[in-house]
Amino acid sequence: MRFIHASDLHIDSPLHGLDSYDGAPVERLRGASRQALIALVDLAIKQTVHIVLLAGDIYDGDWADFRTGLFFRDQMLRLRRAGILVFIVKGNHDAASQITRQLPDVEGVHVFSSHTAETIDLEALGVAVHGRSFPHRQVPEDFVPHYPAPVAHRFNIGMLHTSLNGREGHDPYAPTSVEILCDRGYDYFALGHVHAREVVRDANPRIVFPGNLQGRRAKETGPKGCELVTVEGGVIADAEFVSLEVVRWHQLRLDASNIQTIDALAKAFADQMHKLTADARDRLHAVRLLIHGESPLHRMEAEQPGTITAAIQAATQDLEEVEVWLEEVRLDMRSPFDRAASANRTDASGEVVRLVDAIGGDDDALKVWFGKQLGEMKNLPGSLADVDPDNLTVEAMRAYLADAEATVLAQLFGVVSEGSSQ
Amino acid sequence: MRIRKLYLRAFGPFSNRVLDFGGTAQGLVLVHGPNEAGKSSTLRAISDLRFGIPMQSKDDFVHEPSDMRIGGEFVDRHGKDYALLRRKGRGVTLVFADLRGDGQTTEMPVPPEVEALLTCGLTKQAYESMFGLNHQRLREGGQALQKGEGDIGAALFEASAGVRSIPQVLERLEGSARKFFMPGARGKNARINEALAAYEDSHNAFKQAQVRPAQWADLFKKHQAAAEALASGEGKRVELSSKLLLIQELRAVAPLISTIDNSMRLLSDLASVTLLSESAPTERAAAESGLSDAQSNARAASADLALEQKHLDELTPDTPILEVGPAVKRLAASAESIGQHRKDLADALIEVELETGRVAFLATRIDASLGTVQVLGKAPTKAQKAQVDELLRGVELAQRALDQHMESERQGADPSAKAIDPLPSAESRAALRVAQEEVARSDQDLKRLVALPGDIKAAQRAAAAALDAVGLVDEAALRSIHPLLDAQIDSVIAEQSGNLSRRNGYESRIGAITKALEEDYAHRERLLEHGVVATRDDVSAARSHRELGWALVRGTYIDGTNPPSADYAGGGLLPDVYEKAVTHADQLVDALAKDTDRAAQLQGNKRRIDSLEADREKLHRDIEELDEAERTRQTAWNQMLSAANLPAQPPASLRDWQALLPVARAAVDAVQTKLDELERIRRIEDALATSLRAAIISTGLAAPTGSELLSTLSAMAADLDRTIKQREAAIHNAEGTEVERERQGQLRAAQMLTLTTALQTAKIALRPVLASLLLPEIASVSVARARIVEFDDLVDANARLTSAETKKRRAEQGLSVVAESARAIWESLGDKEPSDLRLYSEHLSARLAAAEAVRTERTLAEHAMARARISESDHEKTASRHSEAIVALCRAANVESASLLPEAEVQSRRKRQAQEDLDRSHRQLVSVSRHSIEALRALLVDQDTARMDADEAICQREQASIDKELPALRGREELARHQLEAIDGSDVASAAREAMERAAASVRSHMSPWIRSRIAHAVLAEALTRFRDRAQGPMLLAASGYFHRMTRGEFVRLLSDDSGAVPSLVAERSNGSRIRAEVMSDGTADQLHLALRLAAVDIRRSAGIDLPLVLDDVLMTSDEERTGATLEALADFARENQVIVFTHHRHIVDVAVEHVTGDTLTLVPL
Repeated sequence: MRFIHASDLHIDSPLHGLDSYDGAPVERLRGASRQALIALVDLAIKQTVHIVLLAGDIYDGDWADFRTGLFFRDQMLRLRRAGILVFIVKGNHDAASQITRQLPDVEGVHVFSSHTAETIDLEALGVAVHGRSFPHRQVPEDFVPHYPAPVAHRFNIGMLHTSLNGREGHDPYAPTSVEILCDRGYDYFALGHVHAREVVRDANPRIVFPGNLQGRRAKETGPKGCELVTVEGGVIADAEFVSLEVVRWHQLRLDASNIQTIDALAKAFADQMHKLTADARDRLHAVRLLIHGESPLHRMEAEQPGTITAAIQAATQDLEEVEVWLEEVRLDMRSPFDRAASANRTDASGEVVRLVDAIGGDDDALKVWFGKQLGEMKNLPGSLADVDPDNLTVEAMRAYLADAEATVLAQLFGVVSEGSSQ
Repeated sequence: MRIRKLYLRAFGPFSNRVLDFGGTAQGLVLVHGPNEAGKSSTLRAISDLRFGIPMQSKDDFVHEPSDMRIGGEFVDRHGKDYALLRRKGRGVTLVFADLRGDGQTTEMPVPPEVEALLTCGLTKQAYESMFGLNHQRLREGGQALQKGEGDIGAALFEASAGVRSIPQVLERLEGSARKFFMPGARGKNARINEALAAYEDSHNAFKQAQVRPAQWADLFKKHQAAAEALASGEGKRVELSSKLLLIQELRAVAPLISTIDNSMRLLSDLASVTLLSESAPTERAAAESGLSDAQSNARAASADLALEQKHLDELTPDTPILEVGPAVKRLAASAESIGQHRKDLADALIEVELETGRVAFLATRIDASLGTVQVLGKAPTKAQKAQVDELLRGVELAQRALDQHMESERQGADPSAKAIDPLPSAESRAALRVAQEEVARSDQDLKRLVALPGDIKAAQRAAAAALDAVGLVDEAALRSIHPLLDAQIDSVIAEQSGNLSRRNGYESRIGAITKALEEDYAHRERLLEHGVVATRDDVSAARSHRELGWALVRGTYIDGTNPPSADYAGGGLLPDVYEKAVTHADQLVDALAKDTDRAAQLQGNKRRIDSLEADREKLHRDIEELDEAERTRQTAWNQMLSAANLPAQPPASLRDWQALLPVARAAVDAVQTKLDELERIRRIEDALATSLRAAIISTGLAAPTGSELLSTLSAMAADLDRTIKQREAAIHNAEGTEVERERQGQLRAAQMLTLTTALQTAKIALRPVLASLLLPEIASVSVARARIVEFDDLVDANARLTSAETKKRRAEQGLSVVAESARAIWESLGDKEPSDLRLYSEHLSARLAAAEAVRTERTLAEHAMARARISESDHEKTASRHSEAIVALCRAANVESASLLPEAEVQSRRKRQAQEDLDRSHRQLVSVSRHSIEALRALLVDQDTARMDADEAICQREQASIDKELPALRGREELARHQLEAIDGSDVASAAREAMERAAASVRSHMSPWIRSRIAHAVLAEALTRFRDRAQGPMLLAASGYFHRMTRGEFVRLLSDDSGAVPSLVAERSNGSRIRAEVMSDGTADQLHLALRLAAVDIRRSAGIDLPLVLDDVLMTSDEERTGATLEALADFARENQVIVFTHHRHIVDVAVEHVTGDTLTLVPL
């Protein structure tokens, strides 16, 4: 018997919080969550699995558009036509109270009750599947103690949407522990909710968070996909992770401290990208790059804003046999610059440095000054609150102020640093 | 830290060069030198000494980079001295050194605090911006003041930082920010504005694309209700349809079941009938028809056979002509060449005659006393001609040598003493000249004489060809012909054509009669196939014969008036014969009565045959009469031709032939014309020869024999002419040469004798040759040569004669061969010798063609007979086969004769039809009903037609009602289904949602650069304000002093005008008036910028940054007055600050010396 375990499909959830779509392969990114589900169904049919387990958060909430449900139903019909059984527990995003139930049922697709845990005994396959859906978004209690006892002479699978004993970045829903799971006496716990893949326990029972099918934001990095498990004689004979994502996210940090030229920086980036993409050259790689460290490159960027981004962009185009989309280049750099000495000078450059120190010296004054300078940016949509100048943190303001100082000095003198060139 | 001395140890073009900037390191230093003196390298050396030599230095073009060295003696503000040496390289490059001594370095690195004193904490670029100034940057500073709208903050800021165009920087930063975002309606094209607009559009699209679950549920319910209503209606309709179908089924099967029952009964009745094949009637009919046809065809084939045999008998072959057929064909082929042979023979005869005369003429011309053969025998061979030519050339040479000797002797001799041949008489010379001129005038005729024989031959050939074309032997035959008029010929042709047309008509009618007769003969044969039938004519004839017998019997035996007639009795007894006649007549009457119909047909047939045969006979007689008339006409025609000496030809051919006669006559006339011309020219030639010969004889210098041709006489006359001229020349020269001739006479006489002897010897040797050429001994060389030419002409003519004779023999032989062939044929056929072979050949060809046609027709008739025999045999076989088929059919039908076959076939067909009806009904029953026959019988028990009609009407009414409702139900279901299906699983809304995210991402990506540009702009603007507030007072105060000095007091001070929105810089004149910087002249603006820069350096110095100000040719465009004033201001400034001015303008040095006192000016030449 063979089954697939997946969770957190979040169908029709767009890629969130991206910094830029400039140069993005829009057609490949379009409907990434749908494409990932299609790939999952393709895999199930190709591998002739008997069961597909979906451990919650199939949707991203109640459907804003009914077509989301119809699309999912179409895919379930494909599985049904292939004779594949589907078992679903609902999670916090698609809890019973969240999703208005309108879709006609599909034969062979079983959605576990949200009132009580239940068992589906598949005698022909030698499998018993246990599970319970979320009745509400908030589930503070542990469902597992109320799960049915394992069925004798069956390979017992428990399905549960849970944060277990807490996972960073995830709200604590249906909390439980590995020990409690082990006490249930099942053979496999198909968990959902955590977007990063995690094999919580290898065996007896095997406990797995498969992660989501497609990274929805830049921080959901690495391969995304499902678990393909083969059971022979009532025990797991093979278990492997199969990546299905359309876009694979990477967050890359590049230390520019010892890098003196743009070419060297581009080469360092290309080297790292070669390593990151070596095992999956057939898909799109989205990269958010952070360049940090003290480097003369900062002067060039201050003098000609965009120089570094353009160089990195060019480096991505030179990467052969792999498609890379540079989602964002963030710079956390500084120039070798003796600000203290400069501040003591009586000329214009000293005046600029002293002014920056004066503005940044007081948080309240800083906020007021920024509000005054950026006040013309008004009425941004709520979804852009993260970049609304009104919501800038003091740290961000100081960073912008430092950038402004470097830019002004660069514009005035062509170069901004002090010190020996030897 | 100020510099006292610059040591250019190894830098640029310099090696161990020391520039002394003055001991105090204060005051104005003026470094000057011409172009290429090293000013630029010195400028870079001052900077590189403090901040290091860059790796990509421009000053390593003389010294190796590793050898580059710069040193300097410095003094800090506390008066402490430093001697430092800078090398090019990495790591520590600045060390202390003993620059004044041996230059040894201490290898002690310069500590950071000393290096800090050297650079004052500035970068090289900042140092060069703040403390360096060249003409270009000075002008830019002046222009910035002029463009700066008097913004005092920007002006002070720029002067302080040494930078250019602060307003431009501000504008650039502002532009950068606006590129990303611009508030209000103006900002549509800024990137964030665009992204926000896209976000709004996508958001609207997303809202519009959404399909709410409740909306879908409503559509789903509507569709379910519509589908259920439709299903109910369709179900009821199906039920009614089933009922109707059952009724229709029963209605359809009832007659089938009835048919099945009837068929089964009939089959039972016909059980004993033999079932024949379906094709049995057809086979019988075919056999009977085939038998009848075969018998008829066999009879027809037999009749054809007899007909062909008869036709064959009528065709008589012409065997003799067929036996000599190949010979006749060969003769016909040879006859074609008779004309050519005749033509060749005629040509040859003409040529022989012509050439014979020519040979005789030429032979006579050579020697008339000898016969032609003898003269030809004298003709020299080629070897002899060569020998003669050699002897003649010997005589010529000897004569020429003697003539030359005699000429030289004449030239050397005294003419008076020389014996000179006398000249002929003047009359004779005139006669000779006249005769020669006559010959020359007749040159055209003489040339024509040469060409005429060839022309005559060609004309004779043409005439012969023309005569041959008309089949005539010679011109006499042509002249004897009297052509007929065309009208005569046309009349004969019309008569001939009419006869032929009538004859064809008769033959055509005979053919038609013959064909009709054949048909009647065949009809008679068919009538007589079943025995002879007496006709009414036969009966009449028998009765007449009987009546005649009775008259004779009565006359003989009853009345006794007639004697017995042996003719009637035929040798028998009259009563017996009469009795037979009576019996015969009675029998015929009886026979006629038995088969009157056949008798009537036969009677008609006989009469028609008799009539046709009579007609045919008459037509044959008409043809014979026509042939006789044609023969008479032909005889008359031939007689007419003979009388006119015309060949025996048909009229049409004769007309064509006569058309050729004018051509032949023209050709013959042409020959005669040319012959007449030849005779005329020969007469002229003879007359010329006679007169020329007489003239030659009259000179006494030659004596022609009288037989020479005109050409020989012409040559002779030419010789005489030359001789006479020579004699005339000799007589003319004799007197002048006589003395000399006498003086050399003896010597030349000996030579004369030798040459004369040689000439005589040559002439003696020539004599036999001349004799052989039939010339006198005295004949000259040219005469001998002319004779050789004559012999050549004779030989050529004789060769042509021989050729013509050969051609004549060949033509005669060809004609003889043809005649022999013809002779063999006419002897074989027993014919008389023909008068014209060509006509005889044509006659034979026609006879042979007719014989071959008969033979071909016989062959065809034989083939037709063979085919008729085969056809007869085939038809007999076919008749036999059909008879056998009829017997077989009788056997199959179990009947005794063929006449019983039709009844048997009828019974068999009824039985088969019954079985087929039964089978078909069963099949139809199966196809129209799924019920068994028993079930159908059961269903039909209670059904009758009326009941079924009533049930059917009820069902149809109900069905019609439902059919009216169904379209509306289907429409509602389809509409609901389409509305539901319109909502599919597409990602329209999802795509719009993603578009929102893309727009949001675009806002995010552009927000940061916008904030950075915006904040940078704000920082710079505010820094300007703060700097102005802080430095305005001190800088304006210091700058006012320098500006006052530079303008020699024209401007007393600089002020800040705060009356406008932005404080601006103004200068106040000594009279109290104020002007803004933008209205100053270029020179004044440059001075203002320099004053501000000096004030900024003052402020920096007060802040501890004490570095020399380096000016590079800043005064190059100023006039002397302004330059002097500026240098004075700089000298004032240099009291506290070191100022190093570079220039390559010598006049600036002069101005400096004039305007600056010696203790504050240090001149440093390069």
